[in-house]
Amino acid sequence: MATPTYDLITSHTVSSTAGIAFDNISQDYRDLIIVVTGKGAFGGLGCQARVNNDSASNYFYVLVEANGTQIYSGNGSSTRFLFSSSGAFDTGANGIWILQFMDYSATDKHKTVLTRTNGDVTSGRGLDMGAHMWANTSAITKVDFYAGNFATGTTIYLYGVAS
Amino acid sequence: MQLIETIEVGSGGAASIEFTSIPQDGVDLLVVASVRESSYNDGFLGLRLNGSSTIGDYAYVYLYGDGSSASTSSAGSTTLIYGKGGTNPSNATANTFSNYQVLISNYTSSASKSVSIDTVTENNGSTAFQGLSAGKFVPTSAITSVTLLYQNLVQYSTASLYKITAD
Repeated sequence: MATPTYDLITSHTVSSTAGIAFDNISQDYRDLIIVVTGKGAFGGLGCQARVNNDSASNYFYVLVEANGTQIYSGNGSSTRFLFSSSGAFDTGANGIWILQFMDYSATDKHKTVLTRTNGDVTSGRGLDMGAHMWANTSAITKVDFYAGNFATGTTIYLYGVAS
Repeated sequence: MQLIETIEVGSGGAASIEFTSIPQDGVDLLVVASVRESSYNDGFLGLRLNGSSTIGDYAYVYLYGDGSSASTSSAGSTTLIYGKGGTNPSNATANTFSNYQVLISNYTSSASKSVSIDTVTENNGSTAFQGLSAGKFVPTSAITSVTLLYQNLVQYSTASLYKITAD
């Protein structure tokens, strides 16, 4: 039985360390989901992104991380999304990273992003989850990942979830 | 996203729920389950892929909270991937079931597979579990079967398998 509520908008396979942007994002959906499978290009960078070219201090987060022996929780703000700080998505081995942009096309609310990161647990990486906010009421039309976030071969899928 | 199959445990319960002959035309697999265990109270639910019970084929780390504290644990070489909070324990409020979700990304690829699990149990007015697991299936073969298992999953436990496609 088909349930046409979760559609692939576009995908990208990383072939260089240049930045990756999803631009002119369709406004026809309720939520956006980005699924990244692969690894980082540089150690300790985590994953960073901006939306709509906004470089102001409009990005806030709270997260919790665990690696099997320790648990950490923190919060902060920045001039960009800091999606993963635990090293869960690192250079050593493949992991999975899931971002859900809630109500991204609304123009009457700040935007919330829920994240999950699973590192390669055979290489000592852990997991984290975060709640992020972009303090802006504009509809999200562009998501721009920083150069060097992803190693060659990493795949990125952008899905739209319909109302 | 397309539903492939839903399985409901029948009278007498079952030790496992298994999806086999999974189509190979999707990008990701999503399993959504609601289950209850009749023998144990720890809330674990195991996940096996391609029927493998080989030590070293799996590794995982999980994090969970029970309303008063948070804990984390891991296994670097094991026979399945555990999700704490995957089953409603036998001592939970009667007729309550868990919520359990698994995402297996790029399940047809020729690389090891990353597995992401989210769980929560239900227990009115008392201790319940909410958990996350990050797992790895080390073999590089495509995923053709998915099994959820513990000791005895009770009648009316259900699981649905979806494929997320690229079209």
